[in-house]
Amino acid sequence: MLLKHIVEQTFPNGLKVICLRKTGSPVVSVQLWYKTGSFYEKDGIRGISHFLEHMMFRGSSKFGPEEHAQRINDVGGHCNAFTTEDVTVCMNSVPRDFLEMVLEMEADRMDGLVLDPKTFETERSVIIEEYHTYMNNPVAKSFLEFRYEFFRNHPYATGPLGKLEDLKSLTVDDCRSFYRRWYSPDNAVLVIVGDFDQESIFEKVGKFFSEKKPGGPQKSGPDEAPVALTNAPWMRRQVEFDVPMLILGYPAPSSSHEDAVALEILQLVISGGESSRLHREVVRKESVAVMAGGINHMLKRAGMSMFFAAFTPDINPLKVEKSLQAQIHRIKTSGITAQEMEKVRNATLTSRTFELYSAENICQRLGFSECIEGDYRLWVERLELLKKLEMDKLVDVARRYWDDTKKRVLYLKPRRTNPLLYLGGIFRRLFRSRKGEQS
Amino acid sequence: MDFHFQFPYTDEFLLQSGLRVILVPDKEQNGIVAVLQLPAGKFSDPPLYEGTSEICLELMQKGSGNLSSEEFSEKLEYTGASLFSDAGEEHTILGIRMLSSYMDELFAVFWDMVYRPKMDEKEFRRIQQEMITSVRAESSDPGILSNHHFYNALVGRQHPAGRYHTLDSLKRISLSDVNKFYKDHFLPANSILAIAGNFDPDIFKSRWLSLLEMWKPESEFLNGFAPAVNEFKSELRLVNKPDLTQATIVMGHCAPGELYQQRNELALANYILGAGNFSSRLMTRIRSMGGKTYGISSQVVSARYFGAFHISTTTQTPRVAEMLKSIDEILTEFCAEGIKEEELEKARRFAIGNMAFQLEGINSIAEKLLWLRFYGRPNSYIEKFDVLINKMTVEDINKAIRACFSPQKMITVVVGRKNEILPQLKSSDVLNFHFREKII
Repeated sequence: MLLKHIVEQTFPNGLKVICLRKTGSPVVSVQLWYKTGSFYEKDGIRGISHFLEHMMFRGSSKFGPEEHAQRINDVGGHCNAFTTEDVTVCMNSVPRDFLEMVLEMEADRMDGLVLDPKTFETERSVIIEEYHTYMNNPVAKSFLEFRYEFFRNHPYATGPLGKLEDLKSLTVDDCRSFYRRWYSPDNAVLVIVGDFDQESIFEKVGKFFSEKKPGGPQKSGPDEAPVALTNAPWMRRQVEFDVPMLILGYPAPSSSHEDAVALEILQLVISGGESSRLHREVVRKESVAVMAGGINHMLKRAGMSMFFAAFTPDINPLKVEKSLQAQIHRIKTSGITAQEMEKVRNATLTSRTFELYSAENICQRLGFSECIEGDYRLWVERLELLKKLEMDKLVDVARRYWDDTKKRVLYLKPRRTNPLLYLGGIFRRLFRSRKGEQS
Repeated sequence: MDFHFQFPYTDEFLLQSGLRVILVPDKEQNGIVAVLQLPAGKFSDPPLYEGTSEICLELMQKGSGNLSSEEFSEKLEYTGASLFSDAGEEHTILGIRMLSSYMDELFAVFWDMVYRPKMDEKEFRRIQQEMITSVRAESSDPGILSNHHFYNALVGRQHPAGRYHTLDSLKRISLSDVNKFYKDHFLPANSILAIAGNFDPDIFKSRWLSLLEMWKPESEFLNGFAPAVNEFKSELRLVNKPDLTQATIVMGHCAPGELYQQRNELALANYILGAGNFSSRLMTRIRSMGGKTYGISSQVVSARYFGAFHISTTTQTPRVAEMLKSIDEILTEFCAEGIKEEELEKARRFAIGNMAFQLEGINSIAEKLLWLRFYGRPNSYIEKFDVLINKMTVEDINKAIRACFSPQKMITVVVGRKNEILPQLKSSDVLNFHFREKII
């Protein structure tokens, strides 16, 4: 149903444009997805795509520093950008009358970015501040270390935040050369959703983008080495964080892989909400964790299927790990129930229904499916795919990806454990089990 | 700039219990959202028992009527529905998102949760433990720490805004305290229920009105509105966190509440100072020109009568004194010289244009209606918002700035490495000129 309302066109310079008209609110969202991110960086320039994302707001041939954001704010809109391993995305949402203004500004920074040395230095300070904001969070810092070990030797090992020494030494020339190589119409997808005139939309886009020169055929990234797992299957980090945590990671397929949807379903069954298996068994029944959950971190070329739990200091982390694994094992041996499958379908349908109320959310979904999964239609057709999946396939996927020989674990141990807390936890548990015996 | 918005058709009525119901039919998608706004929140927590309202809200979502917690979550989640909640300061939000095809089945479960929650002992203990764990986690978060210290220094523990949940207060709370809170504060009087989405209001009324009426007040409504504070004082509080390489700063003072007559003038002023992202003076001068931070913003947070103005930022430890000085210069200049016509025009355009995003989708429309009714405002407040904003002058805004901002009397909280920050503060004129030293 939704598919037939989506229109697309690829311009001769390679720019693909995907549009969906939505008239419920007088707003329009415009997102430009560049198919480049930290995956395409090499040693010495780790963090350059994120640096360029910042510079995107520091002026282009027709617009001064910060003018892009200021013009959008001045009409009540908002804009932002983000960088991941695979993409750099510029996002804009404005009242519908200002669509052309956004197109003009996006087009201008596609090939007219100004890399002024003085502004470049100021922005370097801002980016280093952002780096420290992440590194001052003990959980985020430990997770980045874990991920570095997990994707060892793979271009995904260092994320978009980059390396501090590289951020300090990057030059304007490094940025200019990276910009020329990757930021061009043939390496980008423009997504427009909202209240616009469908008849003239491609003409409007063409007015600003059709003269842009393609970047040429050199769009291959670094060699795609398979994920080489660290030799240390169990990592322990002492952190300035008062809650012990455990993270389990398994190598997962890329988001465009045919197994990705099945793994997503399994993750929802095991960790989605209070009726999930982790919550019911690990948190409620066994009471070994205060909270437990999971997420599939699916990237364009590889992924990580993760599970995590937060617990009290009196609980042995090995016990927590065993409990999480027992639930994973149950799925590998017995699959999921028909009722759980129905839950996944309904949850997907509900989240789809509510996503459709927001132009920005739809833009995000279409851009992600097109640039990461390989085709925007995959987002639209996801519900149909879910209906077709069979139990055997799910069990097979669980067995292949949740392979314990490839599992990696990170235990975050609080640096200071208050002995009273520890003893308090033991007494509380003793008291609780005695109460249980009496009843 | 003009703005043409008209609220969709709404069916609104007041029940005898005092519950206001607003029905907003909308056929755009097959979703329904029901949101209940209860007229009490964290400010109603009894002193020393901070966290009671949050536990109460969580516990309500763990079983209702004849359904155990497991049955309750299965019933909702297996049909794709999800609950959402927010423990605010003066009100509490409890809502459900669902597919319209499950409305008959799920609305009854949702309403059961509102007027006869299970309040199970075992679930209470679990939630209490969960919140204790969260508080432990929060102690590592400099953003949360700085906020708690800021409000504590601003109004003290005598005022509800100066109290927040702690390990001790959470451990002190018993199930009977939570039940008492529910009976005393979560009452139909002054509560507002908004239902928006794909349903027929007439069918809704014939099917559900009698059920809505079963929620009856068990005690008299006690409002939990925080009183205004007009006292301004100076204090600098340095909170030692030796593990941080970056300092977190919050500085500000008390401000008028939401019902203040010049509230919109204050909002426009604040947009120009620090809420307008890259268009604001703080962001332009401190981030874009100075590169001293990743982000800086100012906020005017307001309850009905009580409000607070504050500026928040982070910067690397060696730059703390420099940052405080820069903020002080910008704020002092802002208050002394006021704003320019060009800045006001941009702020007006933002305020008017942004309203379209605040009303995108049924969730947003339902929430906006709750906000309007809570402060006793009609729909025309939004529908004529452009007229209201466009008539404001530079002098109106500058008058509000002079009345509400006071750079000489600020509470400042810095969370970071004391041994590196304290010498900076002592050797700069920051402490001598504006602040009284108080280190804890």
